[in-house]
Amino acid sequence: MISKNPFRKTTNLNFWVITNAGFETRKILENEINNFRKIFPHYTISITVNPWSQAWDDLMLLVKKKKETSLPDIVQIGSTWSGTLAYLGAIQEITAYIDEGIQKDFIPQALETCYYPGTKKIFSVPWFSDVRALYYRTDVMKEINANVESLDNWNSFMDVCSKIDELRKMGRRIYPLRLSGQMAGILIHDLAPWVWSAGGDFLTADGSRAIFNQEPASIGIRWYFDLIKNGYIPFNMYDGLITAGTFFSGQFAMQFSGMWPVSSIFNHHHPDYNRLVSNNYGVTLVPKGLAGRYTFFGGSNLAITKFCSQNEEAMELLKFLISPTSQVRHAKSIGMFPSTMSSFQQHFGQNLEVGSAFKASLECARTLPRALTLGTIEKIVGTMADNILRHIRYGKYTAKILQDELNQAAEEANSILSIYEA
Amino acid sequence: MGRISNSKLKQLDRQLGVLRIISTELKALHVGLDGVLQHALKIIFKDLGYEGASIFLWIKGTHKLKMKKMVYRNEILQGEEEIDLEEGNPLYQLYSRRRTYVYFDRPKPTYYFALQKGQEFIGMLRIDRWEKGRKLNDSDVDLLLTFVEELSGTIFNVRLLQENQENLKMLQASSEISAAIISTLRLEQMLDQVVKSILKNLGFDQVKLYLVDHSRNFLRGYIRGDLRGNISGLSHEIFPLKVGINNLVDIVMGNEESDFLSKYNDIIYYVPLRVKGKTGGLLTVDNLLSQQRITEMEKKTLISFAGQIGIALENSRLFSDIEKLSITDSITHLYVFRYFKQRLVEELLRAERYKNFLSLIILDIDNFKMINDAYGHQVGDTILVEVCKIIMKSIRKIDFPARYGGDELVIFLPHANNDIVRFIAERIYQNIKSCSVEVTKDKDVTVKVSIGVATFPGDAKDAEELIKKSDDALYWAKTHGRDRICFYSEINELKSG
Repeated sequence: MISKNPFRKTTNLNFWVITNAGFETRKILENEINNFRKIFPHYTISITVNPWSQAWDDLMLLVKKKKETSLPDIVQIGSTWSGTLAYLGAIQEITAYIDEGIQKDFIPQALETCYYPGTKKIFSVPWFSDVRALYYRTDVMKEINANVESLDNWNSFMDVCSKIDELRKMGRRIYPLRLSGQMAGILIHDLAPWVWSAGGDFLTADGSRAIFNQEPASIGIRWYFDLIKNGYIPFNMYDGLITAGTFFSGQFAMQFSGMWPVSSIFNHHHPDYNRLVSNNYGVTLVPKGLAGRYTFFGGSNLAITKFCSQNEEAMELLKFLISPTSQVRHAKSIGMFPSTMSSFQQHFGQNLEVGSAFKASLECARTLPRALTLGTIEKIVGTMADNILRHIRYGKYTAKILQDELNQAAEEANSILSIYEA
Repeated sequence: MGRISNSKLKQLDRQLGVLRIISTELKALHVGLDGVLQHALKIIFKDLGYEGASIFLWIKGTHKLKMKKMVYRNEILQGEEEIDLEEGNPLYQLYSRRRTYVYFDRPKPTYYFALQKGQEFIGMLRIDRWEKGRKLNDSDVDLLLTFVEELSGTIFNVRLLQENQENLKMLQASSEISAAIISTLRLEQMLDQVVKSILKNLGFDQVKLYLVDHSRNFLRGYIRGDLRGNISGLSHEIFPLKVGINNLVDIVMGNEESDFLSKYNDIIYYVPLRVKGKTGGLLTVDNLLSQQRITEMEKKTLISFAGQIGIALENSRLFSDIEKLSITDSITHLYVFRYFKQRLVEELLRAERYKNFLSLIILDIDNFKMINDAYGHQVGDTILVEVCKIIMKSIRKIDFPARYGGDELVIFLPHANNDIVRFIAERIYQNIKSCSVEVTKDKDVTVKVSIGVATFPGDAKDAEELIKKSDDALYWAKTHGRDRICFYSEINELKSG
């Protein structure tokens, strides 16, 4: 029922979100807010849209009183940020507002990201989630006499890459594989499935030491860089790997990615729309490694900031946004997954083939390790990957050089970890 | 002169209007850099009519440009793209100021204009021509060049203003932290104030202070504070002063050039605290969690404090020495009676409140005047020091000895009833008796002492009385043959016996 009490006090909330759907972000969220305001008409919600890197920095500048701007009441945060923001006192504990029923409905991997490290104290709620799978071109696969089963494990996947590369060398203008992100460098998310599927991890279970330089993690990383060394993931002219052009616009035969391209890039109004790709694409699980099959699980959470003085009111909005109807509607609009189990089935109602690949991916999806200094560890891993890329580019890459880089990065990570995690 | 067509006139009029907006609006802005960029993009979209544009600013000291803001169809967003301006990249021509703008036809038609003020490169403006006509005509380019000149000047001035504001803020921070440093001479309070003040004024994620223990060759954590204002001890962090143990120790040992430190000095910063040319401690700050760059200005501010903190550390040490000197006896190194009495009064109040016993021993070296007369005062002092050493070995850690005056020594013993004090007094007496002191090359002297003991609450109600009763007991011992222990509670028995 819509309550319209003229004497009810207006609630003004500032809501900071991240560019979940590029320039459409605001419009999509405004639709959702309008739905909320049908139930709570006395709310006025002001939306600020920031890109990922700026979202973190702006929040930090406010926490450190180094920037003067309107203060956010609710913020969208990366799923790995919750612990660190809670430690810094930037967001508030909301355990009391999230009853057991709601908790049980969250995807377990998503709920894990909301806790303060080492406790069951909840500091954020999962808003939407992201799982990576492998997009591939069915027509290209036919050309090389391969099929989806050829993408099942590392060995056969390498073989497919090699065959596509042969096609390219014979004049076919297509590269075997593209990374998932927009950046020219390699991110921890890119390496993670290879490290996990080799049976390793980045940090010890208690998060106190780096182990990505040790076997079996290092074996997974070696497999990954072999893809680049062999030329399956190509370099660009200036500063790293090719980022112009994607699988979706037709320049690559395969790409690890989330579900968002299905709803955006395969829409024929999109500037990168390519009919050939749209008619000849498939989605499958990431290839199985030496110790199993694991993919990356990420997403975004919602949190109430330290600046908010209207927690009860802010929670009403949060509860609405994580409700099954809103979740499914919003997640679909931005090409992500809902974060609750009850929303999941509804979400996959339409595209069964793609849906089943992503649904199966969720079964083997993992989150990045939780450590207060994870942001810095990610940068260390990124720098290490850049160094290795440079060695490959200049033809100096060897197993020893890879191990040296891994050791040095692990040593740096341990120095950083010892400052907080110990 | 040829006639100017109507369309040309319209175009010129439009350009004039836009130029007026640019020069008046941009210059009148007092909303910081973000506001200027936002306004500039609004002009590009609304007044100049371009559907998409981005402003990149140069990251000083690098070859990188970072996108600050972008506009696309009236939606202005913060940017996150980075451009690497290595030689060979066509955009390098803007960076090296060889050209004022560059056009790319592929992958999408795009113009890049250099933002520069005089010889200083500021960044670039990118104009996207994805939807409308591809190439711009000369007058459009001219207008954009005028626009970027205005924008460059405004960015330059806003940055100058920001720099001045930052300087002012640092000055305020300096003055507050300096005040904290000189606020007290007591080490613990001073360091606590310094850490709180640094956190409040400079807002690091964490501040830690370590002190060097030169006598034991250790670097010891002292205090830490974090952004939330939590202050805690750091005594669990103790590292031997050996090169290679960790980065902290390496800095203290003089190795400040490690790869790790230079690589991460934007988020972790170590400042050695010099005291008289030696490293007496280490101040560490970090932004490892927030990942906010520690600015050069903040580093300079910290370095300037390091000198002050170093001096304050030395002053605290001197103050502590003087304080100790004023309450300790220079010969025996025991506390002086004045301080002893102060502590005794406090301890007695505690004993009274918690209904505990407290005993007091007064001890006098037998025939000390004769020893002085026979062998000189130096020997007398040596014997006194030896007796004190034996006393220190014979009492418990909680007992409190002091020099009463001359050859008289006094000890209070918390939680000591008659049985306990008897046991300890006996141990002191026997240990002294079994010891001899060499007074000349061929002569040793055996020292004997008389001891008087009284206990609270049985023998006395307050400190004055307890001292007096112990003294009475000592007097009894000295007047009844010396070389013995006398308990006040037993004097009456002894008298009658």
